[in-house]
Amino acid sequence: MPVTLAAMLISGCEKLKDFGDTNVSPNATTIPNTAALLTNVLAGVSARATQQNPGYFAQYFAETQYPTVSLYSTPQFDFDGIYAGALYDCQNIINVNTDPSTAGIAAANGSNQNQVAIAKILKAYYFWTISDAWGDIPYSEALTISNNTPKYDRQEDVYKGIIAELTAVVEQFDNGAPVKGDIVFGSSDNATTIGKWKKLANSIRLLMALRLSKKYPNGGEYAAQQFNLANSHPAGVIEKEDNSDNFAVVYPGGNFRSPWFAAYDARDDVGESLQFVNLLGSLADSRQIAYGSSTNGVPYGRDRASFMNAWFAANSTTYAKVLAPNLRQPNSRVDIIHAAAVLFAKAEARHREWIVESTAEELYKKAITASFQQWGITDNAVLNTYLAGTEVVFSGDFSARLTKLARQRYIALYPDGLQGWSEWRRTGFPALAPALDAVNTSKAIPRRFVYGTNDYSTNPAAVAAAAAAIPLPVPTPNGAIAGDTQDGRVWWDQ
Amino acid sequence: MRRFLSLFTMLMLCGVLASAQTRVVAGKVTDKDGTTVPFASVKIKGSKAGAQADAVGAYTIRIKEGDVLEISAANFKAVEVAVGTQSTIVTTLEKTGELTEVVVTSAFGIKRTARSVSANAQVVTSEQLNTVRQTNVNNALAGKVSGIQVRSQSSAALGRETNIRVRGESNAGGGASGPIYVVDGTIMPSSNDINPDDIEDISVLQGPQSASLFGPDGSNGAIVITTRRARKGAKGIGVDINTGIQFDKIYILPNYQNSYAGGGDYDLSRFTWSPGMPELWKSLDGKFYPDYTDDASWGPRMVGQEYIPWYAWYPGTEYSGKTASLLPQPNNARDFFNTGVTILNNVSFSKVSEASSVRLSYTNQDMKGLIPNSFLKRHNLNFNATMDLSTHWLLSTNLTYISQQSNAENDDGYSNNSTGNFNSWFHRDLDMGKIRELQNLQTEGVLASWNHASPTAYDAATPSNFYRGNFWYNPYAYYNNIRFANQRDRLFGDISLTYKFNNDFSIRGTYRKQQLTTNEERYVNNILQASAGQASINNSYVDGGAVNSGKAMYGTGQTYANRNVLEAVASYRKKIKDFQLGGNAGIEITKIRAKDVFSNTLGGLSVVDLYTLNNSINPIGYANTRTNQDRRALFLRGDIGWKNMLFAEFVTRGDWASTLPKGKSLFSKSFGTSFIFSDLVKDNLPWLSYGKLRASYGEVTRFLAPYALSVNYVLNTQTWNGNGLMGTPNAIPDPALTGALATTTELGLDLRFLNNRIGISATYYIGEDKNAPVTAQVSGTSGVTFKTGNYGSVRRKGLDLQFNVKPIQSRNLAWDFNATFSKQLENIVTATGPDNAPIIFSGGASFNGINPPITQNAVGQKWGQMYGSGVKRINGVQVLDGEGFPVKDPDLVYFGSVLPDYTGGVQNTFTLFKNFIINFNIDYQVGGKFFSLSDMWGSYSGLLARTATLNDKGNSIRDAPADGGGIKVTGVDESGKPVTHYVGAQDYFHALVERNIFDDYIYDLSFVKLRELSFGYRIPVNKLKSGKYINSITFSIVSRNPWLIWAKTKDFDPAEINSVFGEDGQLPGTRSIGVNLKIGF
Repeated sequence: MPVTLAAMLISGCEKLKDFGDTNVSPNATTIPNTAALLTNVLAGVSARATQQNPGYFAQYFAETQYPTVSLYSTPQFDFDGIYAGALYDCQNIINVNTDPSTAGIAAANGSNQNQVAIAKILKAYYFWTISDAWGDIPYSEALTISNNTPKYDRQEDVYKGIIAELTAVVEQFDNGAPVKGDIVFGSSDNATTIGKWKKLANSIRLLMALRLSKKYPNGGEYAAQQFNLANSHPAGVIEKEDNSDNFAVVYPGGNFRSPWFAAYDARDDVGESLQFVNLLGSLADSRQIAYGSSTNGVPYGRDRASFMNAWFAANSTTYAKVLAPNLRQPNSRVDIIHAAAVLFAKAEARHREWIVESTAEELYKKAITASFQQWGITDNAVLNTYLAGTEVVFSGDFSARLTKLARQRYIALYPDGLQGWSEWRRTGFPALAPALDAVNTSKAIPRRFVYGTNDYSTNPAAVAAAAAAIPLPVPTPNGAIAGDTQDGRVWWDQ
Repeated sequence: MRRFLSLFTMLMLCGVLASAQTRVVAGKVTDKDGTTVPFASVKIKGSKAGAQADAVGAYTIRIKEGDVLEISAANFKAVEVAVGTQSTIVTTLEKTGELTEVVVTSAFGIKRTARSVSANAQVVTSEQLNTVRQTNVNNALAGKVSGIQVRSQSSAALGRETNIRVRGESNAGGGASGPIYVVDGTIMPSSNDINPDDIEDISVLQGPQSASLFGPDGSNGAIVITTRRARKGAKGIGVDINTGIQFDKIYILPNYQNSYAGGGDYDLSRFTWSPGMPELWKSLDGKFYPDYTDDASWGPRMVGQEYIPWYAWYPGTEYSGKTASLLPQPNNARDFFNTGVTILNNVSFSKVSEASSVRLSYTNQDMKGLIPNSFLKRHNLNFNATMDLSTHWLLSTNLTYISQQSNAENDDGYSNNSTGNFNSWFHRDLDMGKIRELQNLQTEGVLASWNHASPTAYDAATPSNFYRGNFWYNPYAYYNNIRFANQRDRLFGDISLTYKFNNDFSIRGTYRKQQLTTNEERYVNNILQASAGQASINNSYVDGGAVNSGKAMYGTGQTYANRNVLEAVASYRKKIKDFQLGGNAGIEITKIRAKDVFSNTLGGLSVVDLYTLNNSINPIGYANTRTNQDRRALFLRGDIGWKNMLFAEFVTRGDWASTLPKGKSLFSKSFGTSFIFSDLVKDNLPWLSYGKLRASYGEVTRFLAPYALSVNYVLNTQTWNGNGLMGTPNAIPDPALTGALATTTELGLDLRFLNNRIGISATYYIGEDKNAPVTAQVSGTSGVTFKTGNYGSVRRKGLDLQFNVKPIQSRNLAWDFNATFSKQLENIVTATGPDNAPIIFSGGASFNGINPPITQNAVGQKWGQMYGSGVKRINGVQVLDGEGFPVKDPDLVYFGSVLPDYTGGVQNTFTLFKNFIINFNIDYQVGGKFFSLSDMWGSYSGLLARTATLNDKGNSIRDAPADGGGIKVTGVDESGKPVTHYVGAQDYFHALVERNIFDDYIYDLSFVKLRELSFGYRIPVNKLKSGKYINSITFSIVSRNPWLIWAKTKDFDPAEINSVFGEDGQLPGTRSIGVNLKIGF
């Protein structure tokens, strides 16, 4: 008896340990599908261009009911979600396509090289927009899962790193199988698709180069050099006035809705600012028809108790929502990098004599034309009248022309708050008055985002080092302190 | 499995053969009430042979005719019984007046005397548990057991699970780590499905030494419940009826201001009728109206002035077009809620025959909730039976079936439509009677709301935009038009077959099952979609919250969860001279399966008021998961006792599980000893009735969740024009992830004095949770935001005390006093994540850069630290800016731990003239912090009393500072120089929110609460004619939560905090009164 029992127990012990594949999830796969990762990134890629907070700083928008960000309360926005979200999805596409053990599987979704190239361009776009808002950010050591505490790179290194990456990536595309999951540029003609991705890469490089104009103002310097190289690259840049090369997302509607539709789905928190409506009005700018649902702009920078509550009670049904209703449908299109932005950059570069192509005025007119077309204003008579207006026509001394150019670009970049705010920080145009009821100590318009609480708790040493490297702004607004504050300036703004 | 069963059968057969030749007699030992006496010692006089009765007083013994049995048990007088020809021997023992020996139940139904248990195990009997009849086990335990913190919930949340903290928290990753509930050996995931009427007793096992036998499930302690069964020795059919009704009323609500009306404008506006407006409004021309649209109460002072109330604008009522007087409505929030009614009926039948016992109990619970239209109905059927098939074979079963239907949204998050409305965003001038009266009023196809638009915004082209609510519905209309229908069916229980080889050795095989199926349906009616501009509707059922905002919805979900356990336990017990030996060995095979599917419409409904999934405007949202888990365990335990005075025990258990890395297993061991030293000094210290020293060490295992070892990529449920979407998971496992062990060392002393009239029990413990698997936040810049690894370590030290005193024990008055006290001396997080960064595990909803405080675990700090944005201080004094507003500290400010410093309770029972029983139970908690989001918004929106006080000049803080009003704010400027400012109240409270300064909304969790009060009368049935049929009648008047005696904040009930960090719209505290009648036939 005991022998039998022991024998049974021993043989049972072997069985005890064997659970087969019980712990393999029936709900998921362990090897990612690169096409689905790409679609996932592109489905959310407009978020950087449609976020509202920098739009409050740029004064495109005003908060209707509960002004906080537009009064420069000191919120902390986290960027770690972008890294762990879209950026790592891009990195994952690169990893799966370059790891020899998975590249073969990934090849079913198109050329390995091209998948990697597209992922790198998207990564460059995200890093650029993150750095513009926060300044120094994790870059060279980021997105390697084994390193939980990547260092923060100086913005100069981030910019130069991204520009180098973009320079290399346009040469990387091959003629392999079309990339699946490309819901932005994907088409039946693979060569056209690849061409558009290359133009996007060159355009980001060109726009980034111009953003360094405070650091490298002169022709022949790093910024001008890079601008030239990007602009003269055989693949070209996004500059078709019909906007057909734009990096734009057309939403299918249904459960994937345009962010500007979603912003007003059962909420009334944001409107086109009165200041911006007034600017367009002073120029008799027809784009106002597209830019707002009415001309009843929302007063900017006023607090709720003393002003906004009463204002909104009387104007809740008539205030200017961001974009005209027809451009704010669930299936509307969002332009992220568009011809107008690139043409304005070229106009400025020509004006600064960084490039020799065409004339600044020609490029300036083309840029305005592209912008009008982008917003559906195709009547040439309207356009020509506008171009001939005294406040628009490209005349005056160097600085007057630069001011007009900056103002037109500011109008054309609407409603991409991040780009508008960045160009305002770089050029100082148009002149913006801070919120009347600002609640921050300096009462100045924020120049950067403060690092988020998540990184302060998870990567404290690195973020502290980055914060310590932010100098006091010059000139110093009243009460501003050095370090990680809204008054600090990112490197290219210093 | 088949092999195992055949082994089992074979062992059984061996036993049959071995013992077939001898005469074996079965015996029972009971007291004079028929209650079984456990562990009695049975000896044959003049011989070494003997037996020991089991936990239910049963034993078998081999004898011959003419033997005399000596039967003795602790606290009972020994008797001698002559053996005749009878086949069963039922012996009745008489008490010696000492305390009845308490029996502690552990895993696998193993019962031990309290004497022999070496770790802290507290037993609560059904009498102590149900001094006030409760519908929930956890609430019934509050204050009665040391070392546990019961976190109750408002009774307005029907059927919501409460939770219990055992010895603070041990999970470095945050989150609740409550004990398991074990009913007759079956592990239950929820305390809700345990019917207090069916409970015989509860053993609360805190130390891992006691809980280690349960394996990984018991790693945070175990609450072991033994259900009632038929009493052996009782005659005839026992019928018990227990019937009660209880009324719940709202008790704790914030202290509101009652001076200023709703809106954001201090002045009433004059209405001017203009063509295009409804004719009805002509009568209002020239009259004054407040700001209806702003859901705050910064409006005009209410002095009875004539004004246009919100409902005057709607046609079709007797109030249409008429003005009213503007008056405060101090009770409007309170008046909203119904009186909750709970009817609780239980009937049970029991029958005992020589060889079997059966108990059947049915409980019907019918609750009408405090929130309109909410209800919960529950049927609970409990069946226990044992059958002696022969002297060797015993068949036994416990079965419980529960069927429950409910309609209860139970939402007490931010902006819910009851407390989220009244305490955060409301008008203090609203007459709830009118709101109730007009709940069905519709105009232009929309429901009327107090929060409609301003008449200046009226547009004849879209009149419904005027009549609909801005942020809020009529709250009654909201609850009339949503339905959260839930049906749950739970079946659990076991069937076991025991073979007794002889009196010493038995083997039991048990099959257990615990199954839950639920079916949910959620309706959000179309009228709600039409009736508000920016209202929040609770319709993010499983998917697509944003796409569904403000939309009608239909959702449905089915879940299935099943846990099957097969166990075989061999038990041995033998008394040899002065030694008692005991041991168990067993195997446990567990299969856990869960499947669910949920779905809901997205983007609204195509056909109005058709609530089907295929009526969804967008493709439906859904979720579908399957979870499988297998576990196997072997265990061995043994104990030895000497002279019933010195005991030692050990437990080992090995666990294998599908969720652990391949080839990995966890072995845990524990041991302990106890010494009843009072037995040695009985003669020298007669005043010492009982003295016990105990020491133990134990380990418990920490397991992993299913599929936690791999990176699992899940496809999005939606496709983009046919393209699938997939995101990289944000939580990934550390490559070295595996299970872990936690240890506890415990020392205890139990003393009783003066013939057991005074008792004290003290336990000191040190717990170490090392390298426990936790999910830690890492910097998202690495590519993921969470990693799960063996990162977490927590060290706990604490003291649990219990006192029992019987100060008065006279013929006509007896007073029983019981007190518990627990203090955590240490609850320190010693390791958190891969880089030991703090683990953030809780925080309020953040929006627009307003980030409410977070709760985190940081290395070297107490568990559950609350940090948040707060005011900058110089030497402890707040810094003010030039206008007198507080300046935000650029760094996060430390607010305190969310764990209380100590907890406890006091129970008093008075028995008067033998038949009157008065009980009152108090429980308390001291220390710990919570953040009140309601308080923050209630201050922001001018609802709370603090927004309408007088300043030091005797003027209202709402008056302009220039006129002598305003809040007096004192502090220092940036240079540290003292300054004083007067700031307008609205500006001040707005500034606190806009600047993220939350210091004012942090409160203390301390409270003293009279939790239960009852008055009972045992009707002396013997003296009545009906005494022939009725054994007992008890009538009682009971009250739950009658009095929150003391709390640092009385605005929110700190005993019923609805989330880890605090409250964000918590349902109000309630109190109840009821009557109960218990009849035994």
